[in-house]
Amino acid sequence: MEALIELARRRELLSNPSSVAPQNPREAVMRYFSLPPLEQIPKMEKLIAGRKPREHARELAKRIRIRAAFEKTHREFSVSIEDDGIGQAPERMHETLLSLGSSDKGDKPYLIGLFGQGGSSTYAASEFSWCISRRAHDLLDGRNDGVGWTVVKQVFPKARRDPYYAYLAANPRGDVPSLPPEAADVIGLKHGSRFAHLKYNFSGGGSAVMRSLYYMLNHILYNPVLPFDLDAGGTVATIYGNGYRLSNASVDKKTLLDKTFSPQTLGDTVEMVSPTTSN
Amino acid sequence: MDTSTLILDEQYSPELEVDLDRIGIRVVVFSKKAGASRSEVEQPLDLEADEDFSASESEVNSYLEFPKRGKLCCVFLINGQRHHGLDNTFIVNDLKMKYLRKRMIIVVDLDGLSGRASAAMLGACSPFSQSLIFKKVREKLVSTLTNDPHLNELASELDDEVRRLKIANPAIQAMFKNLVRDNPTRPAKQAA
Repeated sequence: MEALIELARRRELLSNPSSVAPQNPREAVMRYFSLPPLEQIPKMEKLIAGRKPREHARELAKRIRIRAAFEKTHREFSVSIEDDGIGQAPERMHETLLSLGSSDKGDKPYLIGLFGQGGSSTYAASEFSWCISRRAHDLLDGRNDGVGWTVVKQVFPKARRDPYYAYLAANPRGDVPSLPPEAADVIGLKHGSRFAHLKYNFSGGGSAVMRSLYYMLNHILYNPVLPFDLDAGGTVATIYGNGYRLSNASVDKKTLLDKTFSPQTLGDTVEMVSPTTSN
Repeated sequence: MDTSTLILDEQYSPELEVDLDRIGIRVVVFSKKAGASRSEVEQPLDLEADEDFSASESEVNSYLEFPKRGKLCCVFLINGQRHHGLDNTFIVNDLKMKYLRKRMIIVVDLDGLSGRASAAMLGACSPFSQSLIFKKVREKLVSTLTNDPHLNELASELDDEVRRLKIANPAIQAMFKNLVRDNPTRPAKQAA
């Protein structure tokens, strides 16, 4: 989601360098995609960008795609995530998409992540991951166009109690291997990133994981800033979050009450006591 | 001999006051499903809070991550992502609305919290549920919902309904007993 927001923000800055940044992800999504909180969509009648609100959201969802598969013989999962966002130049992939614990989002209130542990933590749940990325051509910042690619692998050396994760690098600086832009064109990758996590660890479960993935994602991403497409073992659906689904139930008159309270002020302040330190 | 001198031995416990700002609350109560399942009908009408809830179907099941036992029917969101959740014992124990426990979803939006409050929440080592901020949020949530006339009306309607059923039950049982007593010789049909 952030890759899509960042793409729009950077393009906005290209056309208007002094434009003020959105102050939160919702504001960003409203500004760049004319998309209100998804829970409001089922109750909206006014067209968005000339389309019915549901159709508008449905079209946006196509820009983020998640596919999960379960191989029954070996009982192994794979999860792939694709976005048509800003992407990364090959020279910067190791500093961003592959980095752990570092972040360049601290001064971007319109993005969600902050601690550099979100996307990259998925490597630890997989035995192998492969990543490819291509930066949007108008946002190369002087770097060469091309596709960066690499494989992240869990390495468990003998005489060690813990594994570590290594990626395939093309040189001692840590740059990932790259391919010319034509290679990306062949697979229709104009810009964005693709990840595939192989032998993904769902902490047990088998086919049941596939069946419950739709419900799990709708619950964990209860009211996501952007919708996305899910293909769980061949069953395709769009994830709008439970906030949207609850509004649907309300529109379908399955509810006795659907009430949103006016923002509740917590009023007073709370005292936060930092951990006691000794020097 | 160690001649080094300790020049500082001090404990710091600075207190920071943080404006918490606002939270958003949405509550959804489902109508009772038409043709409730058999196990639903067989549920005791007056389960206590600490009883093991049955895994039978409820109206909100498909809106829960784990449908059984009312898991996480109250969620706390930041940027639309779930950061914490409570099960339906919250509805029973804190809201005192036990007959709504299988029909109610509560969504608490924490985006309106001040920047420092949410940063303290997200970056803290201890779980959000143990923080003072969460305590305040929870208190506000309970006071808002328990003082809401719509919810109270629904809860009391259900209370009345259950009370009526309880009163009616002995009468229905007595009627069945009379029917059996009056038709003692009719054999039960064998299942095909």
